[in-house]
Amino acid sequence: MLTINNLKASVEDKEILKGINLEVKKGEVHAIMGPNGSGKSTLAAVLAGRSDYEVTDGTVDYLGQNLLEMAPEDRAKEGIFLAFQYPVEIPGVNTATFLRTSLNEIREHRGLEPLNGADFLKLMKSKMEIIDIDKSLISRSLNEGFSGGEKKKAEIFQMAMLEPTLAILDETDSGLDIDALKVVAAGVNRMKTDDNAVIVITHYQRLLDYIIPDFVHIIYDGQIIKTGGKELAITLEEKGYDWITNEHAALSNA
Amino acid sequence: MKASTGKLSTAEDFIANFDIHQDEIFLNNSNQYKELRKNAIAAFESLGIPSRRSEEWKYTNVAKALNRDWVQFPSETKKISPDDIDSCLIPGLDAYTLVFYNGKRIPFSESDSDSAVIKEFSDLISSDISNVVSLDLGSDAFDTLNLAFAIDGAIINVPDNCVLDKPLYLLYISSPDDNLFIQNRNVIEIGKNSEATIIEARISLSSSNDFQVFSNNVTEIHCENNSKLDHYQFQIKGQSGAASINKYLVKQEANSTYTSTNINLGGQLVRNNLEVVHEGEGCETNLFGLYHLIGNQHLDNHTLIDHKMPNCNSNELYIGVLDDKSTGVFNGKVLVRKDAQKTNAFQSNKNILLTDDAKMNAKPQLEIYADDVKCSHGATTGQLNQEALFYLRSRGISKKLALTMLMEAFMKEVLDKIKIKELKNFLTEKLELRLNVGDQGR
Ligand SMILES: Nc1ncnc2c1ncn2[C@@H]1O[C@H](COP(=O)(O)OP(=O)(O)OP(=O)(O)O)[C@@H](O)[C@H]1O
Ligand SMILES: [Mg+2]
Repeated sequence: MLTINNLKASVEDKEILKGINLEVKKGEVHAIMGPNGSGKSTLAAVLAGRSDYEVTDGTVDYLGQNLLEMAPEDRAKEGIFLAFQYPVEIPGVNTATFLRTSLNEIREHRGLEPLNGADFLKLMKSKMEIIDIDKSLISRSLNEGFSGGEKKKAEIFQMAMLEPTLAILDETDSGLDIDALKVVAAGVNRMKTDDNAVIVITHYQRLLDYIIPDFVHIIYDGQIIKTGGKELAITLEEKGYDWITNEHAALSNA
Repeated sequence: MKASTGKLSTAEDFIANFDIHQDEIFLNNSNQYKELRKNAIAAFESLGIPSRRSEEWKYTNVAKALNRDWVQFPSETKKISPDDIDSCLIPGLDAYTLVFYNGKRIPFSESDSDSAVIKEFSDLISSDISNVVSLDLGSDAFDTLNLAFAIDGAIINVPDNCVLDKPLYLLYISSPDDNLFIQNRNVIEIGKNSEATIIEARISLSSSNDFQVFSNNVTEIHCENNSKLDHYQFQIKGQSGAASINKYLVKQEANSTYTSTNINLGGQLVRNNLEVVHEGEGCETNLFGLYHLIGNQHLDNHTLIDHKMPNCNSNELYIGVLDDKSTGVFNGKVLVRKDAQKTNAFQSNKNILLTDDAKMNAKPQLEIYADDVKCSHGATTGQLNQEALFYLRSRGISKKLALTMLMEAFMKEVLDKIKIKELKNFLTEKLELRLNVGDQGR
């Protein structure tokens, strides 16, 4: 589904991604971990099409298409969804109106009729139950004044509404209380099928108890320096990053 | 019949024009009003047309806009088609409607002229005027020019203890193909304990790159004790070809509420002067403004709130989006005089520039001479929030639609102040049309 090959990206002439290689097949769950500032959110943003980052090298193939050449909206229409680490507040844009616009743009791309008001409400209601999100949030301006946890829940609610093919969740667990974490994880698991894929970026092994990854990757200084199964996250939790970075340094020096 | 001689472009031309057209100007005037006009033209003569050296006109080159051969008293009066008038009406709005075409009131609806609150302009100029027209000629050249020449305008008199059952719609339409100089003088009286809504529309059907219509208007508004006026003004079309200067002099008596909502989407060069003075305690003043400028439109909003009395509130919010090479000015002055204790005065001006060529000059001014007051002001000029734009696009919303959504969201704060549903829908639609027209690859 997604093949990232030697991806390099810079911001303001500073190289942040230094040759990322990653392959995600349909039906898989990948976890990306790594210390602060290592480039996790940058990778997510480049995949979603943020133009602040200049891709200087490498390729990204998504369902047979050159992803890097597509506009952000076209990526979304093709099924890419990024749950932001820091969702932006947009005063004056009503959450429900926004979501209906978004959903109908994506539906149109898929050759489906736009949802009318009643059907849209019905769909919202069913997804709201799954994510257990307060319905008053939906009638407010997009993310405006939402608490940290509410913002994260709202992102997952959007994901549930839009049913992406490739979902990238950037630290969705940070800021969620333990009950919310379980609900959100259950929501993610529920939308998981053999035809879609999820990349979860997280600092904590705890989330991976609920969303069980097929692979765990460690990003360090703009590169994936280690890939393993879900037990890698457990080792990390016990030992921290030092043992991997030391090992990596030893390997690069050799 | 007089030939349409007396072309105008300089102050001297106007003064000569005054002599040439005395018959029209003085028709039905009381001696008092004649005197007033003569004093006004004399005052204009000494003031002259303001240049950009004048602090008040620093960013608005009015002399340049004036610099062509204007005709003030055309020998032939053109007719407007009913369809053209219809296109200027607000769908679904039931209102008392007055229509002015190229500065002249034209018959519109029989029933409306029956309304007791709508007077004739001749009522103003033929009677004792000392209590309606401000006799202080002041230092505003365009005000004196208007006073000297204006031979038509809306005269509205809402009696005491009267709540007007529907809005008054004052519709000023100007024509596309004359170099017309138009001056209307309006006088609005809201009696004690009375309430009214007035919607004022300035629609220029002009569409050339040269100025074809220049209108210089003055509206005097008097809100008596405990009265309430919702005053909407909007300008659409004519973003190339129409220039206008609109002055509003608002006098508020005790416990009155005056709310002005100014929506500017049209006109190539527009200057609004809005001056409000509190003559009694307990007044509330709300001044809202919204503008979306494109091409080489220029809009200059000058406001002054004169807090002369204690226990009054004022609240001012002007919001705008400037595209292309448009330019804007916001000059908002709040004056809190020594006696105006317990004043609350808030002012805010927010702008978004969509291009590098668009320019905004914002100058909020607070002058406070009382000590027990709550005042704040602020002005911001920035770019569109790129992070928000990316967020919307990352959800499958096209760049163009996302831009429209964000601009509408930005302007919503003022759009939401419009309490008349039909007017709000009408203007929202006009705004959306404009927002949808150009996506210059931002
Ligand atoms: N717009 C930018 N301008 C300058 N530096 C940037 C910009 N965006 C990211 N960076 C830098 O790039 C590096 C990687 O940032 P990124 O947000 O990808 O890290 P992260 O792995 O997601 O970290 P965290 O775990 O703290 O979320 C950081 O050093 C950050 O400061
Ligand atoms: Mg991050």
